Amino acid sequence: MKRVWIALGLVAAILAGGIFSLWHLERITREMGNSLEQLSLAVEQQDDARILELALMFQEQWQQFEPGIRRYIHHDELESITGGSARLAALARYQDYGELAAETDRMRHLVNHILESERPTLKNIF
Amino acid sequence: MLIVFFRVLIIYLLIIVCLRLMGKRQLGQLQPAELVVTILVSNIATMAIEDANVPLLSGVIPILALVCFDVLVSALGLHSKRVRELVSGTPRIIIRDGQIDQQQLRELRFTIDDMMEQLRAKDVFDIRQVSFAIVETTGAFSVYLKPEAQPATAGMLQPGGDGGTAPPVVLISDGAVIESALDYCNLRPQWLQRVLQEEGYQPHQVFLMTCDRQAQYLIVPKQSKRRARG
Repeated sequence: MKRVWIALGLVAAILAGGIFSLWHLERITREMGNSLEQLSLAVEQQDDARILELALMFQEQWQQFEPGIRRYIHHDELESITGGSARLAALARYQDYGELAAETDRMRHLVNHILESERPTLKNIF
Repeated sequence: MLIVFFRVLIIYLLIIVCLRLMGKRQLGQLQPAELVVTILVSNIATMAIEDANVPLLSGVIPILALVCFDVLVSALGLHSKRVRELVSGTPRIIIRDGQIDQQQLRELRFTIDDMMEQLRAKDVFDIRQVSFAIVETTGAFSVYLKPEAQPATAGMLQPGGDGGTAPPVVLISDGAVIESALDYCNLRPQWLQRVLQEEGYQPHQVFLMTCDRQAQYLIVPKQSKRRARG
């Protein structure tokens, strides 16, 4: 009977861990999404100082979050965001705003994709 | 993480269904659920070890989940005969008193050659010598010979020895009376009721009762949970 309780405890822990990881990921993607939104607005307004500040802030934010989600997300996807965040900062520094706007959209798509691919929907399960 | 959990649950159930569909011929000594766990755990462990891009948790969680499902299914099976039958199947008698049950053979998809091979492996070359041949839930073959074909034992040679009898069968399993076993022993429910009354038990108090065609029985009462733990 002890084994049954251990098994039930493990199943509960796995489900709780799954729900927590989803909540954690949602919080991170919301914050990253907001930063990218602000960056897009700054690019539209051609505010050079603000663009560089936001691009560097995004890169720093990502470096903070990445080790946490690395434990349960495929590493390939995370590495493409790491590369992209470095590219955003470089494009902001060299003021290539056309390319920066396109890269910001791509990053938004990548960040959303991580969350979407972790949601336990029928599409993802099958 | 939830996707991995749900995928494991689905694959686990799917493979059990597939193995049950494939039948006993595909199994060795493992019960179907145990075989599922063995196959999946070995594959998942390999994936998690080989692919560094896969987070370790994606390997650990499915393995833990599989073991949990196995423990929970076996715990359910402990309480429910129906679950046991669904997950592990039931033993099938394919030879009774030297007569082959062809219907059972067809259902198990056993050919005559398969059956003869299994009998020969048990040193039986004449079907007429077989009292019972049973295909167990693990796919193993059990053979009980007729008294005249059994090697003599000290018990048989003693004066008044029974000379070998038909094997006892389970009459009550975990409190549930098995009607077909009563028929096999040529006994009536009234006989069972009387015996239990004499022994001072109700059917639900009996863990195991076996009986043979000579109405010789053995009763193992259920232990209280407190005693069982001690």
